[in-house]
Amino acid sequence: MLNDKSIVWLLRIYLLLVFVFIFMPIVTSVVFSFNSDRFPSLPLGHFTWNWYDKVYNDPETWDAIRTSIIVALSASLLATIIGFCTAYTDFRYNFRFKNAYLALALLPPTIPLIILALAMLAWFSKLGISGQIWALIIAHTVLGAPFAMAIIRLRLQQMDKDLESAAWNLGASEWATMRYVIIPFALPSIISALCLTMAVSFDEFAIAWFVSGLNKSIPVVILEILQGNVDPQINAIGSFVFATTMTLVVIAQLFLFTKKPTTIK
Amino acid sequence: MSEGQIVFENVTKQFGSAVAVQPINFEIKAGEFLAIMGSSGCGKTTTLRMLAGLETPSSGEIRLNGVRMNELKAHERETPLVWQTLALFPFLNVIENVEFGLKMRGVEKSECTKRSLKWLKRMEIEQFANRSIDQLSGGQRQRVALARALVTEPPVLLLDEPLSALDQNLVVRMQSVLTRLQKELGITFVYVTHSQSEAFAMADRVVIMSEGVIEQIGSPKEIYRNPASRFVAEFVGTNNIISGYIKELNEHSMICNTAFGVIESNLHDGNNSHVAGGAVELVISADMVELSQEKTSSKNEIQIQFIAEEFTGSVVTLYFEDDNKNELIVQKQQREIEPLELTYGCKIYAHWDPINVFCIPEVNAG
Amino acid sequence: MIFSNWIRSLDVYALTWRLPVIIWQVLFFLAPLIFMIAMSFFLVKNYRMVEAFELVNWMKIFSKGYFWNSYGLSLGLAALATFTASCIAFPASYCLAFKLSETARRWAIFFLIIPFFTSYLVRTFSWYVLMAESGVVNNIIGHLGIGPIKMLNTMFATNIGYLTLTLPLVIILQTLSMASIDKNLIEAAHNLGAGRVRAIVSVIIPAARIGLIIGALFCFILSFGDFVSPYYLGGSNPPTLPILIIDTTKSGQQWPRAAVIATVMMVTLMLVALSAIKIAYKKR
Repeated sequence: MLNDKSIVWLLRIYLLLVFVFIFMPIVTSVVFSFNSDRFPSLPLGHFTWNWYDKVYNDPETWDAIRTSIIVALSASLLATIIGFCTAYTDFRYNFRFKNAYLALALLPPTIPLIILALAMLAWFSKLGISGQIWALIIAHTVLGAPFAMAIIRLRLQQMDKDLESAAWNLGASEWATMRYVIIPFALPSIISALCLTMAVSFDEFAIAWFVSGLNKSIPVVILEILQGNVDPQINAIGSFVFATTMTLVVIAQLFLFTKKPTTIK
Repeated sequence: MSEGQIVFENVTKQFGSAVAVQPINFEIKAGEFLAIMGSSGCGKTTTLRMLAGLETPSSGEIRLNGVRMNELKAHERETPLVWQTLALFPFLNVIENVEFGLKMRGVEKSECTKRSLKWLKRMEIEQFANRSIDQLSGGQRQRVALARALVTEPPVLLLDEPLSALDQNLVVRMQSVLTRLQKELGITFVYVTHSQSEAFAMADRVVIMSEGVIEQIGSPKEIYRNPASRFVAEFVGTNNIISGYIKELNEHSMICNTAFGVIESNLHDGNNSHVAGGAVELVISADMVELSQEKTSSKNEIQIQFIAEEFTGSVVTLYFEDDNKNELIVQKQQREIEPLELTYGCKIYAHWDPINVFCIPEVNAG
Repeated sequence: MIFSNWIRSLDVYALTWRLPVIIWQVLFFLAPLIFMIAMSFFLVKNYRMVEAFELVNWMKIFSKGYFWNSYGLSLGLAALATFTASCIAFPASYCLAFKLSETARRWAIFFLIIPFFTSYLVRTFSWYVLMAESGVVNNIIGHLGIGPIKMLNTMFATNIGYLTLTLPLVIILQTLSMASIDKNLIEAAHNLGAGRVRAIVSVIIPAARIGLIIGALFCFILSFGDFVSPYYLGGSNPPTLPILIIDTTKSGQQWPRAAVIATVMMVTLMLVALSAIKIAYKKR
């Protein structure tokens, strides 16, 4: 019964179809970014760099790329620091209200972006930083920190609990242990977390749209083009963003998974 | 290297409401190889961790060479530990692992390397200096862990079940490495283990713990031959524990009524509290029982039936029953039992010298 | 004296890792949400927000028929997406968990992570182009003599957009929960004579229940809060609650009223999440 071959093959074909559904929009976007028609359809028009050219020569794109890079770099750094602190605290300590502490640190991804966007817009306006690049950096830090925490926590999970005590036992203070043992051990996951939070920031549009003011990031530019007419420039920018984030994700994965297992029996 | 003398005075440890260690008092002599033995959860590891400063005693005082240690943080102590998991740093190579303690003490880099290399040589692993940890075998890692702990030349070395992950033949080899090392260095070793063979093979004295209480402290021989409590008698070695009543009490011996009939026992030093009619528990070590095919008319002789056997290397553990189904365990060398031609169900005779019968003191009151 | 003891007993090292996170999250995560709820009681006078405590925004919003329409539509669309995503995902996850090798499964999950890092906007745009009157899909089925079918500006299109957003995550969560089921359990069910369907209903679904429910919950949260699909694919007629928030905030300058809608959304999601978790972890 369990080895009923035809059912297994049907299931596999089904799985393939689901993957086709999931990847269809991604593939279409890349294909159409090289397609000459203004309104893409079948059969395809001829090959063109036209849309990339257009994007390349638009100063607004470059401003957006600059903003995105600044925000992504700063937010990923801050988010990774906060994620690391949370992960280490969770790994090392038990204390009263620890669940409340973890909830506070981990809940942001469960709040719809549109609600966070409105809440942050209002709060940042009150603080007087709305529309500044800081607003965007802070928002993306809040959004990215839980992901950084999850990745680094998983890595710390693999650490022999005795490793930290062993360092103290050999004469390292808690601070020295952090510097010479914990951080070196967690380093692959720290790099992963940097890449992934960068990718999160590079992609986020809802909060960015609300709080960024004139400092538009790339996704905000895409959103604004989308609000206008059908314009295959979106495919060109989209493919560029896709290439960038995928590079980050692949780097992150390399550091997460190909690093040899380092726990010792 | 200086020697380390350690005193535990009324030391207790509680985790919340759970008591891990009851008030314990004992002294570890300078240059002694002391093993702390017990089953898991008996408080032996907690005791060791308190010594290393990884746990703070709830009350009492721990002194090293007369100096109170309680307030010293773990990294301020000279009590390196060899961990059960070894806890080698996976992101450092062999020599970097060994250098770690020196580096943390601010020793200059070239000096670090020099001293670490010396220890790698001493542990016969200098050819692996630049290997990463996961390229080493279990025994080699063990040596790295030892070198890393000893490189700072401490007065005391703590060992927490360091051999439990090794193959049996490697364990025996490492035991001889450890005992030789301890004799050569002359420093104090405190060795926590649940393995009786490790403790008895290496230690000068053994501490037996159970449920946070020290049951007995003594040389392996004392503990083996003369267990201080029923717990020790059951925990250590293979003993026959036989309950009975004192029938007659002489100057040097006593005669007891037991399930096996009348058993005569010599009175050993320090056991003067017996009264006729009182309850006793007698301990007869399994390797002190003699077997014969014919009746020898010795003291303490009974007839028994062979029911089962168990091989552990060259030693055989034999299980017998008397007519009333009372079990008797006997340990013999394989070559000793061959002439007896044992077959399941056959009846032979067993006897033991009164000098080898000990009694557990605490149940005297009956 | 007591105070100085307290200072001395402080574990500076531990607090270094704990306090900054608390301060940051309170200041930039908790405070905005609380402020937003407070804002729902503020007033707007002469296009300026005035801090107050009035119920007027709540009453205004609750008395509007279009709000309740949007609310119902949002709930309905999110529920529909949750149902379709869970149903479409299940056979795929079943196949991933039981019918593929460990390596194949790991690769599949890697590929399922990729969509999270491609712009959702760009993927929506792709669907827009694919589903348009003269788009690729109609083009293909036109050759087969069918159509053209109107897909854009329908609930179908909105749902396709939601699936784009949620399907990979639902499959990952379902697969992980099913892959961790003890294989012996399924084997035992088969040995006891349970057929494939019986084994799925009586062993796999109960054992993977938590993962299935959490996957559905995330699907609901994401769909309920998304404004891109209902706007660009569904045509925003009538708008869903997130679109209402955007309209009220961006064009109307009525932040307090937007805050009312956002608060209603938050409370709704909280109730849904609590009941989902309660069902997931209910003792059988």
